Amino acid sequence: MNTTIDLRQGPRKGGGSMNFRYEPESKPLDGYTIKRAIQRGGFGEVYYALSDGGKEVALKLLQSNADVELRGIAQCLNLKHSNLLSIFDVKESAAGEQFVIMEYVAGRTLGEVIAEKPSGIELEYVEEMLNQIAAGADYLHERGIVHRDLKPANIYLENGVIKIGDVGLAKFISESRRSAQTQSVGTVYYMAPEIAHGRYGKEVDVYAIGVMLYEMLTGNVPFDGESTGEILMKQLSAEPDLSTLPPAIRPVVEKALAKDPEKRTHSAAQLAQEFSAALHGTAAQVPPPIPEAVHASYQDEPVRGKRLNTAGDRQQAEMYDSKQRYWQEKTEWLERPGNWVILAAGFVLLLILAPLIAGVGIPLVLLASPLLILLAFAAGSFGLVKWALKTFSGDEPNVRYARGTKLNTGYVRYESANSERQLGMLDRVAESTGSMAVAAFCSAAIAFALFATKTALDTPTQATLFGIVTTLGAWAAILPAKMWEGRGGDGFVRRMMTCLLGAAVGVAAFGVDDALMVDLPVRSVMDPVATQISNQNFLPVSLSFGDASRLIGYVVFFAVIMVVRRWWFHVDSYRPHRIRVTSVFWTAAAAWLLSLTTHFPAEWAVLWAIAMSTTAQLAAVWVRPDQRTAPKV
Amino acid sequence: MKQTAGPLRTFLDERRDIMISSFFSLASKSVSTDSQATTDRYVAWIDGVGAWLILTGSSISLGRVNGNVSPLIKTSSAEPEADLALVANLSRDHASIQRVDENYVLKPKSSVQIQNRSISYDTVLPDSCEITLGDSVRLSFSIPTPLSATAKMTFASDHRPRTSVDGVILMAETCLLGPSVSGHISCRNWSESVVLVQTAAGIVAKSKQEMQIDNRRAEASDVVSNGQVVSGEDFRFRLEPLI
Repeated sequence: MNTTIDLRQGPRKGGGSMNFRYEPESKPLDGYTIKRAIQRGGFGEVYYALSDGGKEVALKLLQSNADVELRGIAQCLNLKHSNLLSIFDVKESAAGEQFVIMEYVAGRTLGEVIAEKPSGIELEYVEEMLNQIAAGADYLHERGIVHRDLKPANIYLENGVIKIGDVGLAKFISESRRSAQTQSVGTVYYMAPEIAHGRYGKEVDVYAIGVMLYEMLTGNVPFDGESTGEILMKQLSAEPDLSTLPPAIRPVVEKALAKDPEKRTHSAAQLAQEFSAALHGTAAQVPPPIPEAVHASYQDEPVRGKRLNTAGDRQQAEMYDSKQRYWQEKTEWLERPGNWVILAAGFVLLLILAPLIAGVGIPLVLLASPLLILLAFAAGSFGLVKWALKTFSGDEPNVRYARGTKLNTGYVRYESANSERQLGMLDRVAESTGSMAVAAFCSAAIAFALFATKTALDTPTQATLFGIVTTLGAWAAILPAKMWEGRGGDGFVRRMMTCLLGAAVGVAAFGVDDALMVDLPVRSVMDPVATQISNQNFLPVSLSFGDASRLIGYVVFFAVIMVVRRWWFHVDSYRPHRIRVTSVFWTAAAAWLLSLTTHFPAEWAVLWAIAMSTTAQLAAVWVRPDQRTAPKV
Repeated sequence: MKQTAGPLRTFLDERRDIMISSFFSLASKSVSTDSQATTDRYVAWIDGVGAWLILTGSSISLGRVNGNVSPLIKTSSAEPEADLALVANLSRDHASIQRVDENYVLKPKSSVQIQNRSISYDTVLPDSCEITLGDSVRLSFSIPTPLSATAKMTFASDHRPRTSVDGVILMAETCLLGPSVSGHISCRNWSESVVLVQTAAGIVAKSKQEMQIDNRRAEASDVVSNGQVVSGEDFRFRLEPLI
């Protein structure tokens, strides 16, 4: 009784459930060519096949108890009803296997139809389908046949016509069913309580139709559970929750799901009739329940309003101060060396969530990117206007202090800025968002150029990967640099910060690579670590060894490329030249060396370094030397 | 001594190989050829999923089937049959769909509607729309993912080719089969996607999973479009070329 229940409809996911015995183009039965497997049902595998004359049929390969089942089928072989799936013949293959040759239905199963409408199917369609299911079932019942295995996976819908399948197959399955060992997945949901006592009247079919009716209306089965045992227990004792059904229909469903077969709706046709009557209001109306009273509380409202009024002025006055303080605190927080431990923790979290982010985040970002670019543009132009107003109105000096200027003492190599620079938070945000937008365009252009000239990038997906990651790399250079510009700070701390950002870029690069299935031949130098990651399974999504290795390869490459160069220096507003070829060259050289010591494809490494450096420098704000303010020394 | 020198040796060799290969791959890039001129027709028979007609080529014709010929085989009689030939009340050459860059242009030659509006001259199809051919043939057209120009058509009415398929793929360069909803052919129960890619040699299949072609281990560049059976851990399909 501890069989666990998997999905309700269709074959189970993974786990070799797709290993059908016959592969396409096999001919186990003379005169029929199997084209594909359709599904694995409770009684065996079902194939789509073409006869030599071109007739499409479904072949059901009976796997167990073939003799017993054949007796059931023989009884139903010549039944004819538009709502029953016709059985053409039963045949034995040369290998001694029994095949049932049946009508092929191109449509979907009722299970698939229900799965598509998780909150229930429209009432008029339910009525239509119920009528046809009931007609098919009634036809069987009138001939003394109980289907015994009515379920959504057995009922097909083709061009609006219901076809009930597996007729005659369930007849003799009762012995094994009671032991619940050979239980086919999904059947217990539709199993009437009296089956526990070995009672199989036509009432079990009515009950099953009742369960399906409930499921069509609400999208859920009335009795669900973790195990077969739990569900069977609920079938025996629990009352169905009818509150989600339209009130007029509740008594109809309740009667069809009655535990006692004597009290249940007598026939399938009667169930369909009662449902239609309830739907069209010809049955005795059940008064709709009184809606739960909504006691809206207005008590707080005046008090709150009053408080607002009295406090309003003070709040207004305080707003400016608090805003200033907020940004000050924020930036100070980043400056404090101890706090990047928190950032590191955040990064580890990012690493753990990377596959998730890659799976959900990247499509989201792709969708939102036009909006982001637009926002960046708006912010950038706002900054431009602000800057222009400041510069041309002249009432406020634009105070920027250069770093890396040659002083009397000779060339001073600044790892960090020590000058007091009054670049407001708004300027930083405006400039960095503007630069980010430009960087996106720049890298897109570079990627396109490389793709168009067929240099390294062969496919659009490779170009997309290259472009996105170049953009991210440039952002990782520009963003922190803009926050640090004109502020004091330790070079080592800065390198560590950019290193972390680089690692994040690496994670993102892996995510994009994975999502686009570029599969760049990146491999980790730390195979033991990759093995750990793939073995330990501490990530929410399990990574194969190859994927883990690739992830580490990416992270290492971008982290190192971000740590070996002083990116904040390359993108400083007061850098000597807008774009310095030597910077690009050394970055490329570093990348090449890195590619030699790690398993990173050299051409990608070099091109990425060149593109990132070029993009970052082109995109970052640059102030012409004659417009700079001399430093206060 | 040999024990310790071994790994270092292989490490250095590997470095050298990478250097050499990266140099050469920079120097010589394979030029991909675009062989979209002719339309090839395949049926993808996918176990547990369904059957899809895959049409390559940048222009496909729509029409009705010719007289009595056996199923799935394109007639060799004088009258050429449309690339997508339906058992329906249409003319033999009812309309054609042409791919121009990322867009699809519907060229009517008989009564055709897009979203219930009659068209009489070439019209660019929206990314998702319903095409009506003649009085009653309705096809749902869509471009499932912006990452690929490949389009898919499913049957909104009950008209089908001679043997029923679930839909038609107008394959640009790639066709994505997999569990994701944005794929071209949705394979709910697969754990990994398979991408069909058109190359000069034929269609190749790419997947993260290990694949077998005709029960032999597949190489990445193996062509699968000559009727081979392609299988993986939880999938199996066959691309049958139609003459």
